[in-house]
Amino acid sequence: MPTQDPPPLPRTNPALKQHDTLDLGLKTPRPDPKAEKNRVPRAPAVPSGWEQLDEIEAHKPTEEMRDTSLGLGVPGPSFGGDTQLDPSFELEPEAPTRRIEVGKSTRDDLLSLAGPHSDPDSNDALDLVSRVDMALDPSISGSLVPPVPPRQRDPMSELRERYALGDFSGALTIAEGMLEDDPDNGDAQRYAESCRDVLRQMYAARLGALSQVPTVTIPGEQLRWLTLDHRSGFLLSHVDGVSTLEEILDVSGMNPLDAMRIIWDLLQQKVIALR
Amino acid sequence: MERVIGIDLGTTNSCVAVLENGAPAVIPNRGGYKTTPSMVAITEAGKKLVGHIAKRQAITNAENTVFAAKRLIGRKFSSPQVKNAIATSAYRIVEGPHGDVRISLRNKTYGVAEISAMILQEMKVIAEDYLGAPVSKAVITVPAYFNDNQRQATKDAGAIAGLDVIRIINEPTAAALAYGFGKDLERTVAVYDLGGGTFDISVLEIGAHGVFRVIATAGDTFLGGEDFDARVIDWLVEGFQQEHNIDLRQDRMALQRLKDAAEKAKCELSATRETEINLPFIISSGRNEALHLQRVISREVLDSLCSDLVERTVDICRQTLQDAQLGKEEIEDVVLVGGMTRMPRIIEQVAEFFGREPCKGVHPDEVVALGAAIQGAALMDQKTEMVLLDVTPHTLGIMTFGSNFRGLIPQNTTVPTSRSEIFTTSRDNQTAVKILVMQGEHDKAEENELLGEFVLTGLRKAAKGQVEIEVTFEINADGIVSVSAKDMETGQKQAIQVTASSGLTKDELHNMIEAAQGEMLERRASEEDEASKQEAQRLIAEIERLFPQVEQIVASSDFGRDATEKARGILQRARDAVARGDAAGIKEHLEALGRTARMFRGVVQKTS
Ligand SMILES: Nc1ncnc2c1ncn2[C@@H]1O[C@H](COP(=O)(O)OP(=O)(O)OP(=O)(O)O)[C@@H](O)[C@H]1O
Ligand SMILES: [Mg+2]
Repeated sequence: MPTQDPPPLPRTNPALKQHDTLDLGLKTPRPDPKAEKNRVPRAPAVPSGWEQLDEIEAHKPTEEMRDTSLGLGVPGPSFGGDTQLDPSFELEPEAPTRRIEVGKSTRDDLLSLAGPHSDPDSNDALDLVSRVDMALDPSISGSLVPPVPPRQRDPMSELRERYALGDFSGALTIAEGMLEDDPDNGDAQRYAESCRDVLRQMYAARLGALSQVPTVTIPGEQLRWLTLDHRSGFLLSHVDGVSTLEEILDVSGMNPLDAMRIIWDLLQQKVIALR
Repeated sequence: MERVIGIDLGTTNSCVAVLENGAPAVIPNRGGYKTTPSMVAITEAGKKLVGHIAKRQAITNAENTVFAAKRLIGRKFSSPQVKNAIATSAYRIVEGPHGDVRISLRNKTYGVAEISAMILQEMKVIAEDYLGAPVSKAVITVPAYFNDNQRQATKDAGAIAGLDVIRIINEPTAAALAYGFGKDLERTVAVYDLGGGTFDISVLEIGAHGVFRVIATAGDTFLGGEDFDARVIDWLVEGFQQEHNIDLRQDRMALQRLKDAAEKAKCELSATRETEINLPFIISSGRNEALHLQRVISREVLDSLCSDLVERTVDICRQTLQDAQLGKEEIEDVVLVGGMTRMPRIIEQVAEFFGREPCKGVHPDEVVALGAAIQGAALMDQKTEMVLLDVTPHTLGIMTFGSNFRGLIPQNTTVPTSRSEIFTTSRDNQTAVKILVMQGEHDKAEENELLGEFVLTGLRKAAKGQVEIEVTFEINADGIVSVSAKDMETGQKQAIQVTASSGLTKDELHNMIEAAQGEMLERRASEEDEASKQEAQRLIAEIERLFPQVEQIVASSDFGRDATEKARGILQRARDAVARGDAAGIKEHLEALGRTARMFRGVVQKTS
């Protein structure tokens, strides 16, 4: 395999750039960039300096914000209601292009953010969310995102492409696949590491303060009807309404990225809630 | 008066108590539990976990989780108990530089006392948080059979944890004290203690003036609640195997959940006749699919699964009474100790064996700590009459001809004390004798523990039995044993001081104490930082919430705009400090944040 450039190290934290785009696919109507632009001015002027508000900082969500899950919106009545604007739309010059890229991007890409389930056809756990969300939000539907094209290209170039597109979970999956075949592949190693780093930051930013305490929102007997794997079940068994996210991550003994990803998934599925 | 805490440093759980308004009370930990698992773990990220949190990952991180360190403390690496522990532990037990035992966790090696110190430190913190004041003095309990080295190692652990251990007392003695036997005169009490990992039976003779003598003690250091849990796990695993043909033991996450659930069910069955074990998504059966484990277990099933374990404890009781030549009718009271004695089946069997109902009324897993707290308070208070006298836990003596053990100071002798005995040479023309100082109850010397040795030379050449040598054992008030041998003819003398050793040198101990102190300071500082950070975050959120309103209200005045500008600056700087994790910066901005929040609240209140 020809040696190619090492993974480009993200200039700014890509996790943050990705917030808007990737989440929109899951949580809120995927906005038309133009419409979005038009809507921005309707929001009261955001005082300068407030935009970075959330960054990685562990931001305690206020009551109104809780629904946005990400703790990304500027809190306050001005951003209340059903429109969840991401302040970075206005401020991040690259955002429109990014949105388009991700708009074209794969369902895998989007699903991967919600958790380990990424099979578009399986009747997987995401449907539990999407049914609820679809009721509220007609723009979310299975057909929104095209299925993953069968992978037939050179994995390294696909890896690069995914990475460049900001699809870090997709890139990581490919890198891990490559490492399974050739554990010494330095490029794949570097990509994998960089992806994990970015993803870790991304999930950490999304989950917010690790001092939050998750609680199970579904009664015990109904839990069984969810579609979860044993790892989710294991993490879920540690959610006791007393332990903090940090403690659960510590006791899980799992790789922190996997654990955060599963917790995020459980949050998305509204199986657990944070307080 | 300074408070003394009583600590029951158990094999599986530890408990801390203090005397409050004249009555001993157990102090709950932050999670509200009155006992804390005696477990220490280091996570993959290098973080130290102690107590419940360590227990919850004990199986998934088995190699780096220490449990039952008490089985190792103060023992020699070569001892059979250590061999046994090595065979049954997933963590690495290695030989220390002085033939002692060390534990290796994630590339770092710890002394056993150091591990126990982490637990003691946790108990100290629990007490300090509760009392709101630093605690430095403690009474710690140990099993009656602990020898001097094990006791010394426990003291060392206390020192590492920043505790001045003012007394080490026997667990059964502490339990008897908690039951109020200190005031009674002349009573013979049996203490049946079944904990998480060990079983102990002791018979105490309680005399006047607080003299507690252990007349007999025996047990099994590998028999306890864990074995009961294991039976339930086996039952669950077999049932699952039959139903799904999947071995749950192959998956550590499944096993961890089974272990937790088995113990929980076992405890529940002490109060109810039936309980459900419900473990959804226990193991994956395919992609995104997992099987559930759901089973009902009854008290009868638990009893039958564990009947032989209960039987074993009764057998040990029987044997112990026999060895001590005590009749059951001589036992005037039976005290139950250890969480496992909440199990109805155990209470029944014990009552049946001793022919009397055991004492009830105190939580069996708390009594030992309560007794230690009572003793601690008594030691501090000059006025109280009840003072436990220290007794020697084992017989002290020397090895004599034919590898026999000759005891000079019997077990349970009150210290200070001194005894002498005359010995003679065993060979013709013998010019030197080797004195092997030993501790233990066996007639065969090799079964006892060697404490030290020395040689007395220059004896007159004579036929065997002609030269007389006087051997003297002396134990001072601090428990230090000196042994001397004197040639009666020449007056020539040799002596040694036997100091109990935990297996750590002075330097090692000193370094461990310093390291633990440093860590403690760091822990306290980071707790403080976390509190300031949370306060700052709370204020930031409040100011942010009020900002739009305040801005609207004051928009018309120049002054108001100035003020909001300033507030914005404060907010930004505070947020930056939080984002950077800059503890000093956060503290610096707390005051300004508080002022801003007050001002904002005021503005909003006035206009609404
Ligand atoms: N209600 C209950 N019913 C049955 N068993 C219980 C109950 N509560 C606690 N246990 C068991 O008691 C054991 C712990 O007892 P304890 O806290 O006295 O242990 P310990 O003193 O640390 O152990 P050791 O005596 O081995 O040093 C555990 O196995 C626990 O499952
Ligand atoms: Mg105990």
